[in-house]
Amino acid sequence: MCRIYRDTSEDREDLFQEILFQLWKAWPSFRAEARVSSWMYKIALSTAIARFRKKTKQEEILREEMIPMQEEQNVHPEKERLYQAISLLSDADKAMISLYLDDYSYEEMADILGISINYVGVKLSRIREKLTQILNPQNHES
Amino acid sequence: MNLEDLKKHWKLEQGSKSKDEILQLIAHRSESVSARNRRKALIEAGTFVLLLLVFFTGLDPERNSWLVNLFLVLVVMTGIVNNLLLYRKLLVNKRGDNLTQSLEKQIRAQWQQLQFSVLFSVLFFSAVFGFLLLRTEISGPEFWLIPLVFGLSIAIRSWFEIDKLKKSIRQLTLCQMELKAAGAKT
Repeated sequence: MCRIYRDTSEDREDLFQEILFQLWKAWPSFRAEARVSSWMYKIALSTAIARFRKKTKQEEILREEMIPMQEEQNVHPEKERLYQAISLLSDADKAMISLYLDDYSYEEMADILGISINYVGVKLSRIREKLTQILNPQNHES
Repeated sequence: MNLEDLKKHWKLEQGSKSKDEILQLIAHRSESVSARNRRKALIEAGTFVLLLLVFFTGLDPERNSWLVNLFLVLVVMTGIVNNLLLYRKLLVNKRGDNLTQSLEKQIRAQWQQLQFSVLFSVLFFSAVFGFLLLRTEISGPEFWLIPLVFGLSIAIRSWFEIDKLKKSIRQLTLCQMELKAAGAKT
């Protein structure tokens, strides 16, 4: 999640630590009605989206040109491309696709995001289209 | 590319952190979140206390009516309390709400903070200007200059606060609208 929501390794470390801090503080209110991982996802997503961070001009340019800021070591090139493509999506789309990729069911996704279960499939297929367009722009143009 | 292909790429070299790596990361950046915010809140509260000390030891408060002095103390205390409350409000989702509910609460809290900031600017500069000026008779060009400086001080402080919070509110609202378009249960 930190890799998706933040562009530089320093920001990712900051976010990672902040998520841990928020989880630790929110833990007493955890009720075992849902999976711990779903609860953790709710806190982590709220933290990643709620903490506004102003982007520098340089980061914006690099992002638009899809140049990796700092490629993670030992990350498969295909996965790196996927990370970059996802980082261009909106915050809500990032949340949905990361839940999907982490094997959450449509019901759990609807519960974590607070949306209607009927829309999950529709929204996911739109995100897939966007990602395909980002990853294979030449195919999309033809 | 279909969704399953995306998932296949996602699963490549799944890089989860070990317990030791996590502990190392926490130790390495222990300054970054809570300590940084606590320091900021303490510095701001300290600045307010210092301001009170300067005003009440070096600027002849006895020449003012006790009401003017009390007003300044109350306004500064409000600023300090707000800072301490802001530090306590650092938790973004302590109840484990879903993302839509959490965003709604965040947006509401930030709007309240924005309104408070503007109101506080007006009160703060009224108290400071009142403290310094109500004991002297003002005439000539100063009579017009003072309201100008007063207005500018409020405008500049408010502008910085509004600029900072509005960008954050806009980002949260965008995400909330997208979720609403996906049938968010509000």
